[in-house]
Amino acid sequence: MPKFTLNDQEIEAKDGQTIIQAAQNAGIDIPHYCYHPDLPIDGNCRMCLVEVEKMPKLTPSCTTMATEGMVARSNNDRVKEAVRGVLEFLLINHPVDCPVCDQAGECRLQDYYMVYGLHTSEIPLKMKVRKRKVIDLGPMVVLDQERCVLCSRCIRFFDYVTETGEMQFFGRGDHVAIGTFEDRPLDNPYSGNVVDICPVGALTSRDFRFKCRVWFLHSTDSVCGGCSTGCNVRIDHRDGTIFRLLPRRNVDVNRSWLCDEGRLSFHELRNGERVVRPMIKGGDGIQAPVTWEEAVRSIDTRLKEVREAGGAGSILGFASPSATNEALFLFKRYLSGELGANQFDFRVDSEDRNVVEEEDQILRHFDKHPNAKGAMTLGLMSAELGGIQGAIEAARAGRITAGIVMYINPLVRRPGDEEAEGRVLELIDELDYSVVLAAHKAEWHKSASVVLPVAAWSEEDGTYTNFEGRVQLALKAVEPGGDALPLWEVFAMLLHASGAESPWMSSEDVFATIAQNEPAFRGLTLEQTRLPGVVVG
Amino acid sequence: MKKPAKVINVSDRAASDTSFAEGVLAPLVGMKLTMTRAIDNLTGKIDATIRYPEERRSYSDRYRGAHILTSREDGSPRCVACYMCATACPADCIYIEPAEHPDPLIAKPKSARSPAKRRFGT
Repeated sequence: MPKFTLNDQEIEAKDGQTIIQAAQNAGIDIPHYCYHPDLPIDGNCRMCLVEVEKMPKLTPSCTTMATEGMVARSNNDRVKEAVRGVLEFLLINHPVDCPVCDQAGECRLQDYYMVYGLHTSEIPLKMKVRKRKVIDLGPMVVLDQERCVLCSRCIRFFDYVTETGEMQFFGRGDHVAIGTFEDRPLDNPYSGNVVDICPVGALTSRDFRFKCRVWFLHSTDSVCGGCSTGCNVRIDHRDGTIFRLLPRRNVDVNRSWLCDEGRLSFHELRNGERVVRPMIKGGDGIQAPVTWEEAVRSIDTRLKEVREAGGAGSILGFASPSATNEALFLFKRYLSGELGANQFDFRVDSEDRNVVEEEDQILRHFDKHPNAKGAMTLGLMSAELGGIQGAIEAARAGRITAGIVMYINPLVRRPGDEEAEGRVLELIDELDYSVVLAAHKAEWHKSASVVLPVAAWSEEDGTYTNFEGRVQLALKAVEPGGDALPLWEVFAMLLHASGAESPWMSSEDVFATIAQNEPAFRGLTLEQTRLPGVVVG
Repeated sequence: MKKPAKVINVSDRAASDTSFAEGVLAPLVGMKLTMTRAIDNLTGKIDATIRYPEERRSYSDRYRGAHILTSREDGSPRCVACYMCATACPADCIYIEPAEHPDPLIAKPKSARSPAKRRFGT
């Protein structure tokens, strides 16, 4: 663990770390373009040059290992002039596209220019090298060769992370340009990541193109709801609309990457009408809107009647593997604690097997729900029922007559989804009394006795447990709209209506209760579920 | 027993507090100014009317008047939806909807997009 000094500050580096890595761990930012913590080191941009005592020339801090007793400096005039020199060269042929470039506001040329540059270009316009702009590289990425600073991050990403090698430099000298062979489109499922790692506006997102200037966006830390990997994301939103998802770096889960489907998963939230009011089906078979008070009281009364008539075993609790741990916990507490129900499941497909099955070697899993493992850990899986088919048969046979069913549309669609939804419809049809909690309207709502509007992903705080049992916190970014409530709150109200204790004022309170009561979560604090999350069970 | 309120005779008081000069002569000075102005306007010595479009107001260099979008030679607006105006506006009354220009490479490399709409007001 060598100790070295950077800008008069003593830093302890790990063995084998370079100066820039140790500095970043200590919170000191050395300007750089080509260095990336999750890509092999290149050392071609020359922005990270630092002065090291006893070395005659400035050395790139991304390739120089920190050694014991080293004294380095990045804040003296010699280094600042060197950095400014690099910027001058980069800006000679860089187009003045800032007004039309999406990277404005998060562009490292802009940022470093304001700190180190602030010079005027002395190159006559006639001599400026022009390259091709607005090149279509597929559904996710737009390329502008003129803006490229030749850092090679995209090349290294495709060579070492996806191992597909799509991008390469073409040409020599002043005319080097980045691109794909014959402008072929990028069609691998991780192509959106090059937009994140490009430090300038050369590679931009087609999905986000021209939608919003980045300084208008608010960022919220969350977890992707697309599959059981649980990649950490940052939701960028403005005035209740989500504009894009960016990855948050979590070395243990997704490093700096997101798959393209997860990146675009937020669009699914706008697919279809939302349920906005609690509805109860009257004697005439028509669903009428009611208040939450009325709905909750009606549900509790009716379920207790069912229990009196047919016993606690006739009540089914069908959860969703997309619901948060907080929602699932209170769901079980109400049904099991207040009504004595013991028939629980959540499997519409084989989520319990798919949750750990990898779809590819990089990030994706087959299970397109964020919390199947959470549902399993909280005891919502019945060996007896074996999934939704068992529940449908039990309902058909009359062993189960009533139930609360949660169904949240998956954010990443797969071919089997319609069949799965068909099974949910069948289940609700077979139940005599069904309470459905859903975010988006669907066919089966007409068969349900009660429909309750709930929040979808990104509309409530909560924790999700990923495929390896890692509990991660996802925060609320936007409002659900209408009368929709977070799922945990619905069950908190049901518990209250039943006469039980219901002291929770927020999802944090619920998490604290989970930590006290569930053996797998014992002793956890919510802070532990922030980056990088904590593995349970 | 309640004491009677103190009674003041207003006209007596007015007559005693205001002298002839204050009451009659002073207002006449103001009237002189008013009448002079009125006659000057009637005779045409003072003319506030600006005969637009032959006569125009002169503006200082920093005058902030009505907002307009300047045009290119072909008549289309120069605006490229850079959002500087919307960001700067303290009243937050500029709303911009950007869109891709049908020609991605117009003669000047800067203009790769133009706004579909730009509205003011609420």
